[in-house]
Amino acid sequence: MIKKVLAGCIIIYALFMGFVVIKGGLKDQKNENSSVSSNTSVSKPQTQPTTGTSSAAKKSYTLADVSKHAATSDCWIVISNGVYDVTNYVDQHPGGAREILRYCGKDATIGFNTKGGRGSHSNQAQAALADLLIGTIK
Amino acid sequence: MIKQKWLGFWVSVAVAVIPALLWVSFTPIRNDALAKITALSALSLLSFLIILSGRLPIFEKLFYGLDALYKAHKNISAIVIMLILAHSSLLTFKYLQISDVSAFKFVIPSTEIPLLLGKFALYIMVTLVVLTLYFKIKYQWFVLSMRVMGCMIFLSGYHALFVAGSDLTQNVPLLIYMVAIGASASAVYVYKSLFHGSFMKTYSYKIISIRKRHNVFDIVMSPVGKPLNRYAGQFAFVTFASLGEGNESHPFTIASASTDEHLRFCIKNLGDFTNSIGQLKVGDTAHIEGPYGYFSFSKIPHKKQTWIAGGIGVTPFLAMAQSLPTGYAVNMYYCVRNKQEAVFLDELHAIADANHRFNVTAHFSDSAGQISAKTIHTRSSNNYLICGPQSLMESLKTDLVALGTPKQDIYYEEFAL
Repeated sequence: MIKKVLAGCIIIYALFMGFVVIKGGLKDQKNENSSVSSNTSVSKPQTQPTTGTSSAAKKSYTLADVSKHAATSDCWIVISNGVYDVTNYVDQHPGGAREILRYCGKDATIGFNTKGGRGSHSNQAQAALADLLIGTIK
Repeated sequence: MIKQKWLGFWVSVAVAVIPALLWVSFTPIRNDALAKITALSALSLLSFLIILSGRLPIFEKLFYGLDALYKAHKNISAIVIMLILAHSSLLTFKYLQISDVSAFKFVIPSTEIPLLLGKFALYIMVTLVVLTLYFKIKYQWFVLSMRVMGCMIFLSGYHALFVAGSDLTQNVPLLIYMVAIGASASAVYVYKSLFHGSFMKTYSYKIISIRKRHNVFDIVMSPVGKPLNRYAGQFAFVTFASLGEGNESHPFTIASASTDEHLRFCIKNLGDFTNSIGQLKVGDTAHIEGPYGYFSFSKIPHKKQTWIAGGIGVTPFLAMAQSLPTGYAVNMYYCVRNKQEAVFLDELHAIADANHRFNVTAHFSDSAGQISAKTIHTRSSNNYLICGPQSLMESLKTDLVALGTPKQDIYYEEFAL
């Protein structure tokens, strides 16, 4: 009985993974091709009213403060001495949420500047980031 | 006794549920809660599986017999795989909601080591469980697969602690629980697999006679030091030093009376390992780890019993028939294909001649077909003990229940390692 259920699960899982790889892979291929011709592949994300867009409460934090916000539900990152609350932005990141989540509570300067080793971020991306600034490193 | 049979089940459920409860109580619920919970339950159960494979006496008691423990082990492995697949699918689904591309990037091998190790562990475990559950592989390959499977605790443990997005280290009660069960599992694994340690005492024996009767090797050994204390119907793990099979031990039922200090094993020639039994010589040493098992007339409430032995499943009954104290009334059916295969019939007849409350009937399936429940069923209160091929045990059990026998009156040895 349990053997049959398990066999079913494995088959469904394999089909699901196959679907994700083929569909996502094709789109990824397309994106890469189009980004060569025009630099519009990075769309401007919605601004987040909840995150600090005003310059009023720009505080300074230590790296230890930042490291307390290392969860998916509460994710701060450091880029070139700026502290960013990216919690609500994570799901909109065009390069995938995971690329940001890995840096939660940490310094992401190199990751951001090199686009995870794949080049550099666009001006739109830089602007989106600026909206999320909540403070600086002491 | 029925209650005790369920004890192992409930402990397994607790092992799966505790990390989930700890996670829910100490971490704010998020959209990926289910993905985290399935992973934690899987890791907790995987640790439990490794601890169970250590054959610790306490867990044999918990599951009421090592055979039942191994059956539970098989089912829990399947559940672990399902949980891991659910964990991976749920996470993929989360990324799929963001975009197809980010799901694709999540699924393909990544450069993030903890994530890569988690994926690696998943694929290895699925492969091994498929190999061991759906294919008949040699016993030594089975043992090796289980060893590799055990190794996965280190990969998945590392994955759970260090993968980006893991909040294990922020939830102290959960962290303590996971580290405790994971460390226990690692300790059992290292002790059993790398040092070939045993949690049971081992005994040394010397072979004093070996004969081949039809396709069965009949081996008798005498103790070198202290003899093994057991009751009739139990089995032990045997390692023959002269066979050069490394440190691999094999489970065999003890066929000699519990009062006899000699150990007798009747081993049917089935495959590669049992074939090499023929190379054993008188004077060779055997290391015995045990005893294990709860399949015995003495563990059963009724003294009026019906025993059904199918083929080599006769071995526990050989020990029991010779150890039967007064007060028991036993009807035994010895089921084999034909007269040539009824290797132990004369011996059983001799015991029946000496004990008028023990009767034995031979059943030859070549001429009479498989034994039917109607033949063995009695109207009066009675306990049934069945040991033999899985198909025989299952069909007899179903048919006996259909004839009105209460389920708890039927006992069988599930020797499916």
